[in-house]
Amino acid sequence: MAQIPTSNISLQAIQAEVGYSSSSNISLQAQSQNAANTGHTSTRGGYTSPGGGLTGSPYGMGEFAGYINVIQTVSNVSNATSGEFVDNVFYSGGFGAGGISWQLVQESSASGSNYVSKFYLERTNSAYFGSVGSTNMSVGILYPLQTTTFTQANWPDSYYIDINTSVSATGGGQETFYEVAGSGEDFTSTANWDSAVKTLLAPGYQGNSTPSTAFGATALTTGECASYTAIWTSTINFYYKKSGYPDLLAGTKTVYTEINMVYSGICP
Amino acid sequence: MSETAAPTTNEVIEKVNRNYFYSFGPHNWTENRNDDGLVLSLDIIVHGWRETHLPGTITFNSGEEFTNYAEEGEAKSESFNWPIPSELQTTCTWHNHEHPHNEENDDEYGEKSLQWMKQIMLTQDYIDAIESVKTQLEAL
Repeated sequence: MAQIPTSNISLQAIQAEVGYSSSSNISLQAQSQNAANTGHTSTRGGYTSPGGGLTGSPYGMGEFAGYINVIQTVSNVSNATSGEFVDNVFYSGGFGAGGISWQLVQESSASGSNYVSKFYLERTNSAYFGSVGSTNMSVGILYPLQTTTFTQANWPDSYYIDINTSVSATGGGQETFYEVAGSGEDFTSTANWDSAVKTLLAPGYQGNSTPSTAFGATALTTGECASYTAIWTSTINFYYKKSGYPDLLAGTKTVYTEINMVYSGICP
Repeated sequence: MSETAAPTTNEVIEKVNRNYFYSFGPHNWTENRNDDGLVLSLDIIVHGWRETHLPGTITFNSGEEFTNYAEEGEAKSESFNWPIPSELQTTCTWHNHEHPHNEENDDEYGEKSLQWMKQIMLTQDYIDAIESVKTQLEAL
């Protein structure tokens, strides 16, 4: 891995960094079409695409100014794109509260000579319904969301989970969402884990063949004398980091958390 | 299992907060009723706020404080009309947290309006409204 310089760019340097084709008979078009870092924007004037990324036809050597390849993977598989948790809370007597907790788990393991990093979604309580894709979740079972395999040499240094959560609420309540410490795994995220960079633990770390870390989340709503619904939509990005490389976005997932508050009776 | 904190690096990711609140409901929709008081459709505007710029709070009878979603949003959608299916129409009215309550009226309105809300949230008009408000909030 060697970042392509911003001047005196050679086809050999492009091929070596992109890693496509043999080092002879190098096609500039083929290098551009097979470059893994599609988000690269040239640092050289006149070769910058308006929206970022490689410009495409007509192909230019200058497009690769400052190019650096992405972290190399053996495979990167999306196991599921979304999960959902739903609870119906029946309340009376005025004030009421509803809450749902779930967690993400990162686990490292070995597969032959390669290392695997996997992100899971876990339902942590039987009080509400949970699903991943079309599969109903059982409590305490890890449901895979994203599986990324690396050679040991390309094993990233660290990772982080970027989470953005928006709420659609129909009034009558007070909604909050917390990133909390996960539990039940080898390690916990601790609270407020959004975009906190964690060391990517290798298989065997501290004697754990499959070291795992839990990242908890809790959605809460409180209401008074009202029937309403609140849906939290969490957009979750899994990123890997390795020194000298741009961050690798391994996958984007969506978790929906829905609480239906159903009020009946007198309002004191 | 232990609760050992996972090793964390000292790197800091520059994070742009994309946490938004969207709201619609009986506190701000317009009910279109016929001469008998039967509500036939709703005119809905979705209001939105950044998490860092939520509206003020309001205290109801329980003494608890709630976000006052009845306030004007930082961004809002165009109004759209949602016709209420005949089996979900009612002459009951929203209590708006005003006392004394009419328990029978409130229970039916609560039951019907909860079904309205859930159906509205599945419509393309609502999805478009959320996207519009989100775009406006991202530009702030």
